[in-house]
Amino acid sequence: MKLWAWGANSHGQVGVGIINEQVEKPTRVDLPESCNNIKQISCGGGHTLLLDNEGKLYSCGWNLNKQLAIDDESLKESASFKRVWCLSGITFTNITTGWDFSGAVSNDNFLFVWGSNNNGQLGLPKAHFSELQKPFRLQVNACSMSMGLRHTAIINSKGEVWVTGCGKHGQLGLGKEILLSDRFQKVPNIGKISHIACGQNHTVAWSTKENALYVWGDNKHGQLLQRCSTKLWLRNVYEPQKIDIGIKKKVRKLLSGWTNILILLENSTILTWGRNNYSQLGTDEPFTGKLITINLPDNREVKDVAMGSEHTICLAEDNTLWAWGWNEHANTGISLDPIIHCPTLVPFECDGNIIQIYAGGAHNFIVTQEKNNEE
Amino acid sequence: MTIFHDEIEIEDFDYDEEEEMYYYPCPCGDRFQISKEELMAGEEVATCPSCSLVVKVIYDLEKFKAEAEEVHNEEANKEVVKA
Repeated sequence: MKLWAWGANSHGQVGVGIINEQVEKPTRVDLPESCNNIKQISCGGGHTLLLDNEGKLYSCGWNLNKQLAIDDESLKESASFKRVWCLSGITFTNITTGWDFSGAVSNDNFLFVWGSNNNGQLGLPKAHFSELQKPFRLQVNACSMSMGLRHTAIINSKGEVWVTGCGKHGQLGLGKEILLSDRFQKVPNIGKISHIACGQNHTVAWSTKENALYVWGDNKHGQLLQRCSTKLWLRNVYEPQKIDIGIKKKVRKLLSGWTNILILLENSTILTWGRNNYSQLGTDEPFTGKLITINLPDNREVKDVAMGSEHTICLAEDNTLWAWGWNEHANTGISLDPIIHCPTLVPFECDGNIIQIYAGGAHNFIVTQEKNNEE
Repeated sequence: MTIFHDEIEIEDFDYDEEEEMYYYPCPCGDRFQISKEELMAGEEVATCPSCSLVVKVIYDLEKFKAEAEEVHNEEANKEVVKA
């Protein structure tokens, strides 16, 4: 198994041992010896969190707000993955990252959070906790979770959504009166939720049971599909709105960039909507309120998709990698063109198959496995 | 004409008192920044040291100046008390 990374690297978030403006092509990442197999990676704004198969955590990148959980006050950034020793002895099963904060779920169903809590995004009362927080264990049963720029949303075992953090734009969905929360609160008036995604200032949730999308938060670019007239978007949505977007197929993934949304269906169809100033939606077509269907060339089936703040990477069943969107930092790994306008092949050769892909901020990771080797 | 990535209200920026700088996240992973001095001079474009994106800072210059002046006076008074 091998790890590769590329994209913006202003704080060492790519983990290749150097800090520079950008890593232009998929480049090998060396991991500490104790890390044999990768289970999951989560990319924050300028940092990265990695979970290995034994449930151990590693981090790299920016540590300005303690988002790496590395016990070294003087460490402002780390260009290589380091073991998160302060959480050793705990077996984790799921990880996530926001702009400058992080979370991990342990195998006994506790949620650990750390990093910036300056908007209450860790769910820790600001009166009693530091703005820059070391890992803290919460009695929160997070079956699924997403962290945005300054807010966090989790789905519990009942399919309820609980949120905390900045709600100035409506991204908490708790009504116009609650514009900040420093503890988890239940989002009212929604069905049983199966998928959740937090953007810059919005939240989107999918209910498999109802085949419906719920949206709340900032709608400046139409990312919540809410209009106040035929021409104008409603600026903010403070309470969850249920929308039937005509999807009858099962949803595999619901993802959000800063201001754009993507749904991957079980039949490989990709649907996108929201802001499209950098072809985030995978097309040059302007977004007018109608969902856009994106296909990979030659009817390739989609195996997986991952999203950064303003770009997307997509793995096809034939082991080819595709990307589109903002490319100022070689975010897509394709070229140095500022924008990649439609799904385009990422030049990448290795003696194996790509088995996992991850993106966030303006950086990416892929995991490859040698052929005929099940490890 | 400058194309702004976004328009951000001054209270949404994080303020670093030591550096006298205002910061807001940039999608590239770094931060847009503008100094208190620049804001006092009427500058409204926050830039990112790592990329070409810029955001417009939404603030009331007169109000900002008045508040900065107030803080300055308070600090000056503290100095007097200490002395």
